[in-house]
Amino acid sequence: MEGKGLVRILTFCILVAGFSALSAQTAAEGKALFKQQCSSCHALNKKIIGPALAGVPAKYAGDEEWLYKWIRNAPGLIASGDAKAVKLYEENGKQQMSAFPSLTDAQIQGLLAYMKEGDGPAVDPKGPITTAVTDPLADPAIYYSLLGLVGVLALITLLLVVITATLVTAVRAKEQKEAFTFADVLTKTREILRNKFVITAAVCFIFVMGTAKLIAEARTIGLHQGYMPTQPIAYSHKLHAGEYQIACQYCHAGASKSKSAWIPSANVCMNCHKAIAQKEYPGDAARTAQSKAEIAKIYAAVGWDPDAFQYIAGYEEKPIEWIRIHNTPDHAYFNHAQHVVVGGIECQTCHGPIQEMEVVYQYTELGMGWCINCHRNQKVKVLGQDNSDDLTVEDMGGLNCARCHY
Amino acid sequence: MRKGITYALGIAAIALSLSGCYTDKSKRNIEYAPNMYNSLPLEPYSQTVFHETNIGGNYEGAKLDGTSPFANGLNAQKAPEGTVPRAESWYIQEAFSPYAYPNTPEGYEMAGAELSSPLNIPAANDKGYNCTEESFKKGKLVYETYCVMCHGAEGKGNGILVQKGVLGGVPSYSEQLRELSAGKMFHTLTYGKNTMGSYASQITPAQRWQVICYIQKFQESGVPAAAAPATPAPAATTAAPATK
Repeated sequence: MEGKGLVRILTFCILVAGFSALSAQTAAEGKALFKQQCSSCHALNKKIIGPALAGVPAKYAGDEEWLYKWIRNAPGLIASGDAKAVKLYEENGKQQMSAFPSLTDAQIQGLLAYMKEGDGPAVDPKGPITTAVTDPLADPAIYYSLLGLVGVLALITLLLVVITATLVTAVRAKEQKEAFTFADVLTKTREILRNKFVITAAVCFIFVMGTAKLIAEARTIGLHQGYMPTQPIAYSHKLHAGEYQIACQYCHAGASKSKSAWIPSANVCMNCHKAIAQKEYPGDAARTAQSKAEIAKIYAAVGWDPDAFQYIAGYEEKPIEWIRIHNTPDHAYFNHAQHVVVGGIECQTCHGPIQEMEVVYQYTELGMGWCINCHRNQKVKVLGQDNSDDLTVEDMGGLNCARCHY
Repeated sequence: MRKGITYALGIAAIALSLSGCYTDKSKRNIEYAPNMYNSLPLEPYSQTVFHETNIGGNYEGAKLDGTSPFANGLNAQKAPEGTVPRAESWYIQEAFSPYAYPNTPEGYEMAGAELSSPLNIPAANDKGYNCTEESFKKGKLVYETYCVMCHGAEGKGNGILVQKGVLGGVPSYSEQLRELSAGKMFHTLTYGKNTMGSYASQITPAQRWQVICYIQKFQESGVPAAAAPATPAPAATTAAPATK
């Protein structure tokens, strides 16, 4: 009897020791698995779609058999009328958990170990991120170097003047003529300025350059190239379209369907931001907090409660008043679907490197000359024809007035 | 000569004064005769009352007392409850009848049991999928626009957002979702499920069936779910001693 007891205790000790040694490793594996399989509905310390799971290992200690069954096939267990399962189902707002029949025992052990141990102290994997200044004109160094360059040029000019003056004086002294005085310089200058040819040349120069400048400036009236208003939410295309490679038409779904490319309604934002309440900038708490504040503006618009993970009942939604940047005037018709679907034009052709813009600005001038240029040069692919490379929009009547003005 | 000088200087002065015009890029440039630029009918996203950032705004659409015909001043209004879009002529039957299944677990099961793709062709084509090749190609485009960043190019639930650790828990079509029926997919695309939102505003019903046709290819190439152990009971006993 005693021997048997000893063996039992020994086995137990070995198992406990083995398990705790394993648990650090399995918890790490469990964490990876948790992120992959569970995190769309569960968090450790917060209710999302399903309940918080931190207390689960303790709650079901001694009842693992049932827990394993539940994890592998919750819908089946509920349907079979298992009292515990039905109670759990009803406690959590009748949200049915998906079945995970392919999870192995070791995997579930890992998951439970992770639930028990949690994330541990947050480790900063990358260290503080330094934000690179991308706009060269925003860097003051460039202005200092320009100033330096101007200074050097001025110095060289001064040197040349001094040398010339010295040489002229020396030559005159050698030729026994009287020295060059300041009054002489003035007389000479006045002579040059009164010269008919010099005056005519100067007038012509100013007239031609002035007219050219006037035409160039007048042409920009009504064009808004570079327009970069401050939007109500500091949304970054660089992050979403650049780093996360979200397709343009994910949000601007109208670009292939209608005249307007569509400014996404807030429900499109919520497709991802239900689950993403902030962007983590490791080592930069201020930026993390700012991202949280900006995303909270979407929640305020649609009435989403991120803590309860649900929409607030009876909330009066407020539209986000995005400021429109691109616009063709009323007398020119532009259709996105025509250009995107039929023409196969990339968004960036007209909108520029959107995926690199922290704040969006109007990249091209969107003037008539710009439209016409493209219609002259753009090759059109004709369905079912291979040798259609030489056909331009112009050849298809793309320069007719009534093609756009109607 | 005097006249020439005056003209030249005058032109230069006007040119210089204009060149300072559009420096504040947070505002729009000046416009000549904006009446020709602004639309009298309402343009998309214009407002019906004056707003400093408004483009193409039709302030004449406002009532005489300056208030808007719409309470919040926007011309983009929510469609009234029960509105049914009537686009897509090939899909005309469905376009005029609202989606019949409610957004409940029961509706999900019903859609799964009753709905089937109108694109299906009687027998699988020579490439092995059950819809025309054109639908398959269009579905691929839809998938690469709306789904790929979470569900991944191979449908294994490892899109770029998952790889970068922004989102998690995306199931794989070839494993967890291998048995998912087309009707359930359509229901989920229409209403959303768990963390996934509704795509009804971005993907038209026709496109939904096209992308489902594409996704079913991932399911066919997957491993059967039956390979997992059927009874969990022995597993529980091995884990039990450690915690007792």
